Amino acid sequence: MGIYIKLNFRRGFMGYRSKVIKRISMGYWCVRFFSEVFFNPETTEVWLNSPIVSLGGKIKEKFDVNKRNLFNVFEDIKIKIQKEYPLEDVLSSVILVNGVWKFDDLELDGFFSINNALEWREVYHDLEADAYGKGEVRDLVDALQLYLTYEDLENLISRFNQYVARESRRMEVDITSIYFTVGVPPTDEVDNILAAHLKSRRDLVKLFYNTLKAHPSDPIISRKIRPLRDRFFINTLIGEEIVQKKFGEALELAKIKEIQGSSLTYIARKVGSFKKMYEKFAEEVFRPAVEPLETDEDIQRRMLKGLEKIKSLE
Amino acid sequence: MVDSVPLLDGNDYHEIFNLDDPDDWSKLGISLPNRSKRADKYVHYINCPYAIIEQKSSTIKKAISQLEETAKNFMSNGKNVDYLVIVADKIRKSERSLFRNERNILFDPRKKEPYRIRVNSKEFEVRIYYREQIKRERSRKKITDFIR
Repeated sequence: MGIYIKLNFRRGFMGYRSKVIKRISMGYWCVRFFSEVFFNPETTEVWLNSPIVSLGGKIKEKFDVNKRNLFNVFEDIKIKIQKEYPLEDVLSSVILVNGVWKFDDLELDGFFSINNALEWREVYHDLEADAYGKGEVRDLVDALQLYLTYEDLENLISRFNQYVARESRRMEVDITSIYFTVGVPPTDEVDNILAAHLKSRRDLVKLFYNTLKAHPSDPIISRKIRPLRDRFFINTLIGEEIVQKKFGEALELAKIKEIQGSSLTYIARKVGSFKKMYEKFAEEVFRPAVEPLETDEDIQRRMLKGLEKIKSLE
Repeated sequence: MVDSVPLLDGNDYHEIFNLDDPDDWSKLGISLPNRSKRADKYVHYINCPYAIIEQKSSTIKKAISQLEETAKNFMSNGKNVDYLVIVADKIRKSERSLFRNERNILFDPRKKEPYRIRVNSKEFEVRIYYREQIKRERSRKKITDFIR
């Protein structure tokens, strides 16, 4: 399980290089946060296209790093991004900080990845942290869950989210989302989330709605939501008091904690809880809201009936 | 453990080595770096080939990285490597823009060609099997073996 952060650069003119530099600065703050206790950085590499040779990656530069020189290495890279590297390289770069995650007696190889290359960013988001598993521990969040109590993990996630949010405000970058997930961050499934930091409840409802569209429990539901505009459907629901009440009940049933601040952090006790919450919400909100609607075929039939009327007038 | 070792071209394994277990390194007569960035299993199949298998990784990207690293270590220790294999539950939707399973070969959907891992002068296509498929094939094999 990894940590995936999606950034949003505020509107207004900002050159490509400036965006990349801000992304690198945010990456630096993330590495710094975890290197206080858990992560020992060892090398930093600038890759082009992808961070793996077999996936078309080419290494451009490599630096040895440790906690003390990390800041200087990042400053060097930023200067090179600003002044030396061709724009093509800047936009296809992936910056990897390799190192070791330490949890008591367990040591795992791991990395932070700053994904400037668009194809990688679309899948693994702007910033990514993870570990290579060993024995029964599959990855970073597995290790965090194993070595920290639930209360400590909750505090860590919550502190990290606040820290990233604070640094992002300073950098004038918005955080779209932070996910703690098994595997890649979700687009239309919720079975792999442990925690999520989102702007509002609407974002979680939207993810639930995408899940419903991709994996409908009943084919009729799928045919009824097909003609709907997503934004219209979600906005209609989210403004209703009963939907907010049902959202709260689903959170409670799944034992997911909602921490309110300028954004919202959701933390589950285990992976699988978000699926439980989704199922409850889908049954008690999506189904009753969708059931009275017509299916795509019904609408099509009505449209054709309307056209028949014109034909008869011809 | 067997449930996550695929049949390769219908052939079953002869011997499995667990790469998390230093005792198995001794059996193999190799020493690996004491790091966790490595694949999970080294498997000798009954029809002779050797495969390195990664079966725990939560992303395909990490699995490739681990296979690449382990293949390098094994080949520099003079060990045979014939197949590189990923065992996964599925390829999640977000990763499908980079990876596709085409008849158990890991494909690049953008270039419409298999990914290839090059170690020394040897080139490998990466095989990918889903756990459900392995279970199905193993149970089918059990029935066939019984009938014959």
